[in-house]
Amino acid sequence: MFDYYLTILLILPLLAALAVAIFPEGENGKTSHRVATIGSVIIFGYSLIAWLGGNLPLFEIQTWLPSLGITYVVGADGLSLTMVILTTYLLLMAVIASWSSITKRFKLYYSMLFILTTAVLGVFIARDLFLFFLFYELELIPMYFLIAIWGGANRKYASVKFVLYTLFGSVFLLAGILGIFAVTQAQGAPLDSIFQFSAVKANMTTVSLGMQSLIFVAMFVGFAVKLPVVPVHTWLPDAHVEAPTPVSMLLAGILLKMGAYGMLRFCYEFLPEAAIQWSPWVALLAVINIVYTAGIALVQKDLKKLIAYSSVSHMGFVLLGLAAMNPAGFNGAVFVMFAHGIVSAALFMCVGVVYVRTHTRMIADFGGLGKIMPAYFFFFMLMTMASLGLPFLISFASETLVFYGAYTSNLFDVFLSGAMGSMHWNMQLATMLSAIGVVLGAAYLLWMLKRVFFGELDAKWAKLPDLRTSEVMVLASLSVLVLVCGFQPQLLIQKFEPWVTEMAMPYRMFDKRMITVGEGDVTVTKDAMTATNNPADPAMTLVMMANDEARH
Amino acid sequence: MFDTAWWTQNVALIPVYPLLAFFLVVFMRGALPAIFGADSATWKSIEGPTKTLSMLATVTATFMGLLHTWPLVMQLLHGNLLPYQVNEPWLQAGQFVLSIGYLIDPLSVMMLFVVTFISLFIQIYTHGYMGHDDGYAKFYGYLALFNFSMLGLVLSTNLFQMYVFWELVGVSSYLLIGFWYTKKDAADASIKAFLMNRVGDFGLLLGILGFLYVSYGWWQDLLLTNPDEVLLSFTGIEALVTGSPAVLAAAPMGVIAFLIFMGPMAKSAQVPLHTWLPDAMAGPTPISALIHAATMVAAGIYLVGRVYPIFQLSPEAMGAVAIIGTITAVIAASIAFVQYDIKKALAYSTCSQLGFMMAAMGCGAFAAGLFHLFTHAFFKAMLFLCSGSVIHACEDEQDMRKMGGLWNKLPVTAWTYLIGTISISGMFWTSGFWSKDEILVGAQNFAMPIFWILAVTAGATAFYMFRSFFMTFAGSYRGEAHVHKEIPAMVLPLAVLAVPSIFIGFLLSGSPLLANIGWTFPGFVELITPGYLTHAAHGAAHHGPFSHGDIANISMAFGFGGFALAFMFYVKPLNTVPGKIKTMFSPLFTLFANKWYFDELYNNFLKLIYLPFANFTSRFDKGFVDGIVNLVGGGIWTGGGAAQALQSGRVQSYIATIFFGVVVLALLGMVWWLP
Repeated sequence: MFDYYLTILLILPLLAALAVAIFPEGENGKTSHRVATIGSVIIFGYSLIAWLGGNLPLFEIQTWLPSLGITYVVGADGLSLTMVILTTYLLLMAVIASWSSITKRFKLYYSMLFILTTAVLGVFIARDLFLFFLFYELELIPMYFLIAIWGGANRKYASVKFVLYTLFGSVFLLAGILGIFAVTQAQGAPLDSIFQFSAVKANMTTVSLGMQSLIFVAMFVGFAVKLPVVPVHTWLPDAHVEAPTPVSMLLAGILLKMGAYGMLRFCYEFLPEAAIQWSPWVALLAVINIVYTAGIALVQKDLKKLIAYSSVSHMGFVLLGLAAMNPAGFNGAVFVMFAHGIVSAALFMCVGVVYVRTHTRMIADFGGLGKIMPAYFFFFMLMTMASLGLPFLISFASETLVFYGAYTSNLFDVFLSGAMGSMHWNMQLATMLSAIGVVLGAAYLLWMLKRVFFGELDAKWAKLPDLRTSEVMVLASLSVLVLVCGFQPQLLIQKFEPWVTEMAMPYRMFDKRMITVGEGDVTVTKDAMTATNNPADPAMTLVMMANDEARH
Repeated sequence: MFDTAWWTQNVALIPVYPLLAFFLVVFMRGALPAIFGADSATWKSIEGPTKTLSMLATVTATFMGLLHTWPLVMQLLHGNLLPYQVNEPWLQAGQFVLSIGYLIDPLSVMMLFVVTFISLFIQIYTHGYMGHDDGYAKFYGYLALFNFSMLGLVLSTNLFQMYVFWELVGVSSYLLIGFWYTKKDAADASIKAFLMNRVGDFGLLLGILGFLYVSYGWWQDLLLTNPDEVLLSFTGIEALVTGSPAVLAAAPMGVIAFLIFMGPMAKSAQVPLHTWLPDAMAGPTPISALIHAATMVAAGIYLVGRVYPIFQLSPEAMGAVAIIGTITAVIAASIAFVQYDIKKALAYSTCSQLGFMMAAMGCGAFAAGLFHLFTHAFFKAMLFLCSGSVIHACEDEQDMRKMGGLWNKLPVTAWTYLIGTISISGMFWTSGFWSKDEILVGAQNFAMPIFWILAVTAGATAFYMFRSFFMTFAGSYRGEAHVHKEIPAMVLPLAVLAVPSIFIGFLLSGSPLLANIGWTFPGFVELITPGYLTHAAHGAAHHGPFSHGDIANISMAFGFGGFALAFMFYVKPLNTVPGKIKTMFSPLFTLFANKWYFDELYNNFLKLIYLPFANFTSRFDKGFVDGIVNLVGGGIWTGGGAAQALQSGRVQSYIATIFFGVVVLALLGMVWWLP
């Protein structure tokens, strides 16, 4: 029955979009709200089947355009499933959040939301480069309309900027894809499977380091726009400020993760050697992302902009985890993606709550709200605490993995010397600098919390109502996840850990540290790389044993 | 079922009780009104009982914890406590595992007793103190959360777990300092406490990571050979340092130890990260007693004790700890001279006493520092509760200049405050006497200047404590507020805490006199000193010039000196003599009254450096980084004017145009790239 599970997953949102379009809107969009909610519940429930471990054939292949080497291949490993469940879950949350925050053109709105979902799901489960790129670009169109039609005062500027910026990134991504095509074809790879991930991964191992390096850069820059990485991040604050609340939730919760997912999948899984070569730069970008944007967030006057910049800062932790290139770092990066998806969606929801009531987002306009909106205060405080990495809330475990992974990573050490003196640039220094972000993060979040909720209440807000039922549903549901995954991170990690750990395995060869194997120490250096491909080699055996262990 | 081993093996229950109480309070006070509706008749009818139930649940949880701790304390005293630890993996990626568990050894049992015992009586006291507050139930919820975090910290088996609970106690502290968040000073103090502790935690995290980094290979070996061990475990650290120090020979252990020390520096309010503690007095008084005097602030000392082997590897780090501790003791005591707010005076006293403990740790007097932590917890908690009783009776007046003459009006409070004052001054064989002596012994074995500075500071302690005692209780009443009677729920904890404040130091002093009263248990120092330290002590036979008895006499003399000065200045001519002294030492007085300008330093850093920097970054981002984008975008837009014909005004066609443009560009790029 589930032979076409993944394809149906892609079609379901389209059906939901159709359903919304067919049914009348009803009074104030009541019918549309209902249909959309039912649709998103079905989509979420359907995606849960695979998540909860139904033993499904999560791989489908159909010939499509064989003459161009393009195949319809979809598949889902633990990493993809994690992203899929995050997407469908946040879609449901966004739909519920839309009840109170969307006031016009309901049919079109929900249709766009569902088309967006299909595109994002496609990105996460595509197993063919061309298919991936198609979905990656498809996502732009509904997103453009969602911002341009339902956005705030400056929505035209923000939406065009978003589209142009992302297309700018796509140039590089496309260049990378075509680069892969060109070099693997030159090597004589068969055309009919040339874009398939498994083939690409195998083919890339024999490509020259210089070429790998170029492709790495092209793809990295492409995804960097989406993540976003400083200095190509400026579309994000504008897009967030103008986007309506549910769209912000999806934008921060899922769309940014497409960038991170792409980096992990292409740059790090396919091109390990190039990744090592570029890792000093990636680490540098990670530090800049974390610290620079945390500094900017502190002085934001607009609540939503503050959260937007904090998003960019958190994405720096993803980069740091990737730059660590070890199991803890990679798993940490994926976990940060998930955790940030939940927490930032909740924070944007919180901002939306107060905006709907007061039509302002300026921090200076508030103060003392804690007294009259206790439930709101509770959720906002909880999510702020989650965002600044309080233990037993979801982000802490993820950032811990990133920090421990990054600090114990030993894959590069650049010695810089010049007139000003000399220094080592390595992951240890990068981690130390990133840790400043932990302090700055607490500073801007707590200061924001203080200015909004603490102190005396302004008389003009004396009548603000506390949370509505739909808002409580969203925030309570997200809170449960924040707490459960915070207390028992393994519940989540085990879903993707074996696959993500596997991705880190090639990097073990390059670790400059001694790898201990039973009787004695074997130093594995880069020169020994060729030798270690032999399974009889003790170090390789250890790696493989670790793989097996991880699977069980 | 309840045999000897049962208590040890189920010790995890101790933090679980308050956690359950916390969830119950959250459910009753958060979920129930949401379910029934805050204005509904159902909620109105059950609101009162849920309040009482919140209190009962929290107090019961703590009481169960104390009951559970008691057999362990007995085992410790009788010498049949078996060290025991259990670990559960909590965070796993590949072969990298971080664990959480619980560890039973003399140190953790000692802290368990302190935390559960003092918590219990402070929670009873809270019923009286917060009885009329709107947030009564919420306060108990927070107390339960704090208890869970603190007990988790105490039972930690490894540095990672310690860090987890370390952050959690910090957040409980933040919530409780900001309990009256509508007050500006409480809101400011809560954020300050959190951030300053974050700065410390930043160092702690890097220290932990640094230590892990330099010994990672060793840990991997250990975990392979010993499946019961976990990464960063305290037992492992001890084994590493004592068993194979060669692993760490090349590592910068001084830097690592100092980074780790930054955590305790913030949490235990050591100079220069101490300024949050006095401000934290904006929180309700029971919190000041529990968190900011007896338990959480002592966690820093506890952490240093837990990772003591790391510190011992580096003489520089030990010296830094000793010096920072001593400086803290002196500076905080000097500020306490000139405080008029009764809680602030006690807060600086706490800070100063923590300095004593830290100095002891740095001097190598491991057991002395922890002994003082132990005795200080009882008498300082009591002193704070006394101050709460005074403030409550004087209708929220905290200024000692508006008190005086309360001896007759608040008899139990006055007596217990006197006992606490004598104990903290280290006089007359009270608890503080014994522990402070141990510290001085340790100090003279380490460095004579530190010994003399601490001895003089002990005299200063007597001065400022008796000063506050006389200002509050002696002379005649100077305030306007009507003085209320003492409340039983508040008096009972005072009376109970007075007992250990007097006797517990002597009972655990290991003095030969104890045999006369039939007390045959070993002293605190003997109970708490771990094996690796007793072996080390045999080797190091260095001793200072004074005998134990000499030191007792010296500290007593300084104590009397402080007492006499305070008596002269503050008993009768209240405003004349201090006034003269004030003019005589006016520069010093200004320095003390301005708290050595630490706050100005930080405020100016924030105002003149950090905020402008952040503003600059923000403008740079908006103006320069985004400016380039807009410039480029604008250029394209203008250039597009040439292709006016294509401007159909339809977004779709723009997107299509852009998309194909991109494809063409990319293809051109490929041609240029390919070899």
